[in-house]
Formats: sequence, C-alpha cells, structure tokens
Amino acid sequence: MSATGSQASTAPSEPPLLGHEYDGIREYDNPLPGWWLWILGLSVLLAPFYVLWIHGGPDRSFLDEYRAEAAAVAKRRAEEALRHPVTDESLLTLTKDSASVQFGGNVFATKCVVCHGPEGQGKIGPNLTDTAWILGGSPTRIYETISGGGRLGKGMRAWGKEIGPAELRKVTAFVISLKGTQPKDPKAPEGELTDNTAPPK
Amino acid sequence: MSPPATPSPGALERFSYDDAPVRAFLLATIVWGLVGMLVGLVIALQLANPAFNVLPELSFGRLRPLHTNAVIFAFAGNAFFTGCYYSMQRLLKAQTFSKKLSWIHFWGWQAIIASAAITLPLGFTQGKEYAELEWPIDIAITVIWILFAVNVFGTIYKRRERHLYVAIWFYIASIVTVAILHVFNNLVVPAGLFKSYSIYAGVQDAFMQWWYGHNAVAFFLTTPFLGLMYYFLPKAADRPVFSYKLSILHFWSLVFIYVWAGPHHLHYTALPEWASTLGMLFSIMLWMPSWGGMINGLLTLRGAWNKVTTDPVLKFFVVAITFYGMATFEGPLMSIKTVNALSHYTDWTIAHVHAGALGWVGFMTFGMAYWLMPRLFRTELWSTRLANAHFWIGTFGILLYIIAIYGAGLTQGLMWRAFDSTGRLVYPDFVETVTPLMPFYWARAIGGSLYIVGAVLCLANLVMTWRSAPPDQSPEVFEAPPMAALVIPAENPSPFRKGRPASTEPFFNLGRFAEASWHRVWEALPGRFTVFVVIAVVVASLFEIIPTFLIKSNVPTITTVKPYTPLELYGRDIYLAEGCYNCHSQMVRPLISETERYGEYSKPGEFVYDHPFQWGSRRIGPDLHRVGGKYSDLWHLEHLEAPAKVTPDSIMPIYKHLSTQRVDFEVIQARVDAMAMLGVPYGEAIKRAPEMAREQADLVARGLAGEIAPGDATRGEVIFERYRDKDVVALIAYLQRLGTDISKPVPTQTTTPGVHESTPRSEK
Repeated sequence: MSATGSQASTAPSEPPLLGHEYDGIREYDNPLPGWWLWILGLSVLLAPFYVLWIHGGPDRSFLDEYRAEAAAVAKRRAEEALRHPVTDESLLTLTKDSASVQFGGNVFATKCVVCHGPEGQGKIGPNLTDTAWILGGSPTRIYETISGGGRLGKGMRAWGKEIGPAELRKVTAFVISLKGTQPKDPKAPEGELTDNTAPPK
Repeated sequence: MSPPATPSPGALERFSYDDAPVRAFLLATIVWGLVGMLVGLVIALQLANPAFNVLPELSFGRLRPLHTNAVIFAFAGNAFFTGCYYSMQRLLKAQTFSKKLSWIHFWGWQAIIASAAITLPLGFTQGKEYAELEWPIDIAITVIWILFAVNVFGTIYKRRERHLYVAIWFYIASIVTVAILHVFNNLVVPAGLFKSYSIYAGVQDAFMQWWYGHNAVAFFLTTPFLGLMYYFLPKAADRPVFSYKLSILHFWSLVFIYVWAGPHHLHYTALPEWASTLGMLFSIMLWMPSWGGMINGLLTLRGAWNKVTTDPVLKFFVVAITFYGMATFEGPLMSIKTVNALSHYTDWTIAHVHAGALGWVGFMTFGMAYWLMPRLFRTELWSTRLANAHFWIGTFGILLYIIAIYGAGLTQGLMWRAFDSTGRLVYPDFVETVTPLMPFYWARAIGGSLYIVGAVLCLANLVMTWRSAPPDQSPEVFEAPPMAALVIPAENPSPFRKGRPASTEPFFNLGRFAEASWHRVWEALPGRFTVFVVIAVVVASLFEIIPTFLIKSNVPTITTVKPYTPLELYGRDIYLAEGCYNCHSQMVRPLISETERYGEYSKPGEFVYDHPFQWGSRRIGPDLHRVGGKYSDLWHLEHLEAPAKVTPDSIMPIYKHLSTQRVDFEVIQARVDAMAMLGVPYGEAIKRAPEMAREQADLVARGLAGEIAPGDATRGEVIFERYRDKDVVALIAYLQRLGTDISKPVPTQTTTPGVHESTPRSEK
C-alpha cells in the first residue's frame, strides 16, 4: 500500500482537484471505483430474485426447514428406541448387573443429587428410598418419569432429551436399587404407596 | 490553520472560534470512556468468575446496561460533540451559534450520564437494550439533544461558507435521525417516577427496539464518526479527500439503506419472515455504502503513508478505518440467515460489536484526541512516545479481546447445535457449553485491561498537555467575507430538473447523475438537505413499520394467551430490574437444536402482553421462554439463592436478596392500571390488583412450604410466613408462567373456527 501511495503522489497524472476547499481540505474528482459500483449494483439488482426464490416456493421458509430437521431427528430416535426396548423385566434384570447399577449411580451423582440428595433421601425432589411414588413405582413408570419429566410446574425436567436410552435404563436400575436403603435425614414420603418393584413371580 | 484569503469584493468579517466547550467535551470523553471501560472490565471478570458479583447493585445484569450506555452515550457521545463543535466552526467559518447553549449542552449531557450511572445499578430500567434509561431521563436526553441541534443548525445558519462539506452532512444525518429513533423507541406509559411500560408489545416492540438498536449503531456510532473522519483525517494527513463523488454516493446510500436493516437482529424469531428477508437483503446492500467510507479514508492517505509510520494520530486512524472495514464486512455476513442461526445469541456478536467499538469508535476518538490536544491548548503534545505506546498497547489489547471472544462465540455456537448419531444433543446441559469458555473469558479480560491501560496513558497525556498550555489562551481572530449568494449554474446540471435539454444519448440521465454536480446545489441549501435526509430515513422506516403494525396475520391470535396476573407482572418487573434479559433470551427459534433443548418454538401470538418484549440478544445462560413448569418452585428458590449449588459450574450471580426483599404490594395497582391503559384486558385486576397478588403469593409460599417440609405443619407455617411477601415468590410466579399459556386447553364455549391458531406462522 505504501509503495503505491508514494508512487501516486509523484506520478505525473495527479487526479483533478475540485475547486472548493473547506478549512484547507480539498477533494479529488476521482470517479467511483468500478468494483465498488458493481458490487453495490449487483447487491441491489439480485435482491428481488432472492425474495422471489425464498418466498415464492414451497419448503423454503424457516418453519419448512425446521419440520424437515425435526423429522430427521425423530427418525434417528425411533431407530435407536427399537434397538433398546424398555420393559419391567428388562429393567429388573438390569438391577442385578452391578456394573450397570454403578454406571447409573455415577449419572445420578452428577445430575440427580441436586434435587434428590446424594443418597436419594429427597431434597427439592421426593425421597427415592421409600415405597411411596408420586407418579407410579413400576420399573417402566420410573423409567418414563425420568425420561419424560415430572408433574407440570412441580416436577423434574425431561431427562430423556439429555440422557440416551441405554444410559437412562441404567439410571432407572440404580434408582430401583435405592429402595429400602436407610439414608440419613430422609424426606417424608410423598405420593402413593405402590411397591411394584418386586421381581416378577 | 488560518482560513485562506478569498479574493472577493466586500469587507472581510472578523470572527473567532469558541473552543472552551471543545476542551471540556474532550476531557469528558476520556474520563467517561475510562469509566465505561472499567465497568466493562468488571463485567468481563464476572463472566470469568461469578465471585466478582459482590453486591446486588453491582451484579452483571445491572452493570452490563451501565457499560453499554456509558461507552455509547458517554464515551462515543462526548467524542462526537468534541469533534463536531471543533470542526463545525471551522468548516462553516463561523463561531458556534450560542456559547451558552454549548455549556447547557455540556453540563446537561454530563448530568444525564451521571443519572444513568446512579439509576441503572439501582435497577430502574425500561428493560430494552441501550434504551434502558427511564422516562424522566429520556425526556432530559430529548431536550438536550434538541438544544444541541439548535446550536448546530444555528451555526449553519450564520455560516460564511456557502456550501456544506461532507462532514457536516454526516453530522446533520446523525442529529436528526438519533432524535427520531430515541423518541419513537422510548414511547412509554409511566407507572411511577422511575417505572414505565413500553407502548409496544411483543413482536412490534421487538421490531421497534431493533429498528432503534441497529440504527443507533448507524447514527450514533457510525455516521458521526464518519463525519469526524472526513475532517480530522485529511487535516492530519494534509492530503485531499480521495473522491468527492464517492462521498456523495456513499452518504446517501448509507442514510437510506441503513434504516431497513434492523430486522437482521431478529432472524428466526417470531418476527414475520418477510421482515427478516428485508433485513438481510438491505444489510448486504449496505456493504458497499459502508466501504465507501473506508475507501475514502484509506485512499486519502495515498501519498501520506510515510507519515503514518511516524505520526501516532494517523496510526490510530488507519487502524480505526481498517476495523471499520472489517466490521462492516462482517455485519452483512452475520445478517445472512444461516450464518445468523449460528452466530446469534453467542459471543460472536460481542466480538463484532467490540471490533467496531474498540477499533473504529475508540481509535477514531483517540486519534482525534491526540490531534486536538496541541491545537486546543496551543502547545506541543506532552509526549508523542506515550501516544505511540498507547497505540501499540491498545491495538494488541483489541486483538487479544476480539480473537478470544470470536473463539468463545464459535465454540459455544457449535456446541449448542451438536447432535450425536442417536439424534440427541451432545451437550444437553447448558452449563456444559459455558465452562469451556472460561479460558477465552480470561483472555478477553486481559485484552480489555490492556486497552484500558492505553486509555489511561491518553488521559495522562491530556492532563499534562493541558497543564503545559501557555497562559494566554485568548481566541485567535480570523477574517473571511460573508456568505456568498447562492449561484445556480445557468445550465442546471440536475438530472431531476424539469426543462433540461433533451438528449437522445443512452443513459444520459444516469451519466448526469454520476457527474454529481447537481449535489453542489443541495449542499448550498442546508434546510432542503436536512429535509431530504429526514425523508430518506422516515420513508425507509415506514416501509417496514407500517406492515409490521397493521397486517394482522403477522401476529395471529392465540386464545389461551392471557395477561400476566398482578403478582406475575410484579415478578416480571423484578426480572427487568435485575437485568435478567442481559443473559437469558425468551425466544426459542424454530431450529431443532433449540426445540430439543428448550421446548416448542416461540409463536408471535404468545407475546401480545409483553410490554416490553424480553427476547434478549445473548444467551450467557439458557433461554427461558419455556422454563414455566420445567422445574419445581423449590428448585427455583434454591437456584436463585445459590445457583452453583443447584448447577455446579454455573456463572449466574447469587440472588439471595430476593428472599429478604419485600414485595411492595401497594405499587402493583398503578402498574396494572398502566398496562390496562395500553389495552391489556385486565378485568377484575383493575379493581383489586394488590389483593390478587397477595392471594397468589400465599399460594406459591404454601406450595414452597409443602415442598420443603412435607407433612410438617409447624415448620411449613414458618416457611410460609418467611416467603409469602418476598420478591422471590413474585419472580417464581412469573418464571413458572413463562411460555405455558400455549399448552393450556382452549376454553370450549368460545372456540370459533379460525380464531385459535396454534401454528400461526404458516401463512404464505
């Protein structure tokens, strides 16, 4: 830049100066740079074509794009759910696998203790060690509550959006395993007494 | 320095310039600039570590508006006034219209800034970004701005220079447009001395706010400084301006096109999509008009680049103009919808703003300050070495700041939208996308600190130069002939004029237009010139405002959406006062990564009672539009009292004071009445708002007691008594209401086909 600048000042073809001056400031009568005019012109001329394209055809609005995205994600989810069916039996079987329960306990320690306490004794949320359940105590009900969230305005958020189904089953197994433990400072029971977690006969 | 003697007949008039207010404005610029930047440093540290939130009045949500207002209106505002009062007199060859008005302007503006510095930490706010100041201060701003306009136009009236130079065009455009923007975005209904509600709601309020916000950037931070550039750069470089024609074309295209681009701040929101499209297209058109200023700046330096290596003033200008060019390229880029889907709500926006504020506005101001110092005090600059040191420290500071924050913005934006192969968010917990930003935030704080060190050096140089000023500061006397009569060339070159010679030459008119000599006539007629500027701005505004307000299908009615209860309204006011909107948006965009994280996307009809809207512009924390019902009341209580206990690594400030501060039930009636005046159908709340608020507060407090101590009636009673009249209960009531109306059942008896519309934005 500085090289061209000093050339310009010494070049014989100094651009024409306009007659006026303000407090010593003069102005050159240089033409508009061609590239500048072209880009400005194109950005104006092409704009109507964009409007016609984006608003003139189907499947191009924000909402159309969103629906397509949502459908793709739902498809991936459905495929995943088929690979991991959830039943009372499969969940209770999982409670016997200590590695799975331990994995579930680790997730519990990071995400659940804030409301249910480190030993599941209850704090913001209900006590998980007793036999009272607000939204039902069967293994699938527990799974669904964790996945879909608690009561509107009172309950817990829907963890199914944040924890994948395989991990969610392990968390459920851990929660079932809490039943009957004797934590310090337990919160009083809430909900109905529904002890449905006994193994199937 | 002295005006050249013009060989014209008639007696020469003797006059001098009034530079005392210029000196005062310059000092105010640097001092307030330092204050604004220091507040910026504090809030930068608060993001890096929430422990820096020491008092409720000094927490992030209250200081961030103080930072933005201080740097925009105090630093940039005073800088504009400094340069305008100095250059205007010389470009017009006339003393300022009224010395008294100059001083009223000076002290009035400083008083406004001081009142902002007091009221914002106290939580008095309108809750709209860069328009936070409450209505009494807004009125004061209007009055002072009008006095400033009188002073400028008065000076133009008594000028000795027939034609207006390009710098004056930019000053005129800034002054009239800022007045229009300020008045129309701040129309409110007062509900107390320091409490008011925007007359617009929801979608319309969002539109007005970003018409204002975007054009405040244009006409408070861009056009004034382009005006300053057109004076101070050719003066400092001692070179003619590169192209007069470019000045004309880029001035008018900038003034006209800028106004349309506001909706690019609202892509993918509940704003109608046609407005979004206009915002994007006009932003792209704006690229070249903006670059016209950069070209005229940089190419004016042709032949003076050798001076740039030695003169700190030119160094500051070159870097400032370079940042201007960068930011005005980035702006159109970010306005492209798909780019915006990534950049919006992230630190990318913050980086963009600071490239403009620190680079363009800041360095233009410092360059101007160093050029003015020796001239204002008729002495040498105290230390050129110090000025050079300021330049290098400042430049390095800007680079460190913006590179770190671009990194933070991209990192977080990409984490928000990351999905795994099973169709789930990779980082579903919001805080997981916050903790990786901490190194960037520390780097930003260091970069910002360096910039502040530079500003301190500038203040030292200013004070020392002032002190070394010789005692005799009696104004210099100049001579010039009175203003010449208007001469319209016999063959009027205007392509607009009737009766011009007909021509068969193709593009004859276009050629004439490009010759630009028609513009000489406009420049000689300031009144007409100003009217044309106003027309350009107003016409461009109305093209978007009228459809936004009048077309009903823009905001389809949702029958289940009802006004906030009196307690929720009071809770909403707490949300505003605490500045929650500075970190939390209330606008779930129709993007799968957002609906997965937050819930159903936001519909325009959900915001019809939101005076003002609270969509936000940055997600330092998660979106809150669908937070209603997501957590229990007790979760909110514990989270507000100690966020990090509920969400480890949370950087949210502690709001324990809300659990001790009492609800002022008596003010609620006035607030409900003000909302009712705006057409919000309040029904029985118009008669008994405080009672209704108490009833609901009791209900919330009872619920909390039941959750904390189920089955323990005596302890429950204590808890109930503790919370039933506390602010936190009102805030929880508001938060639990957010975004829930849409999922409520439609009342059966009033269901008319076509009235209820749950997916409203599908109109084609």
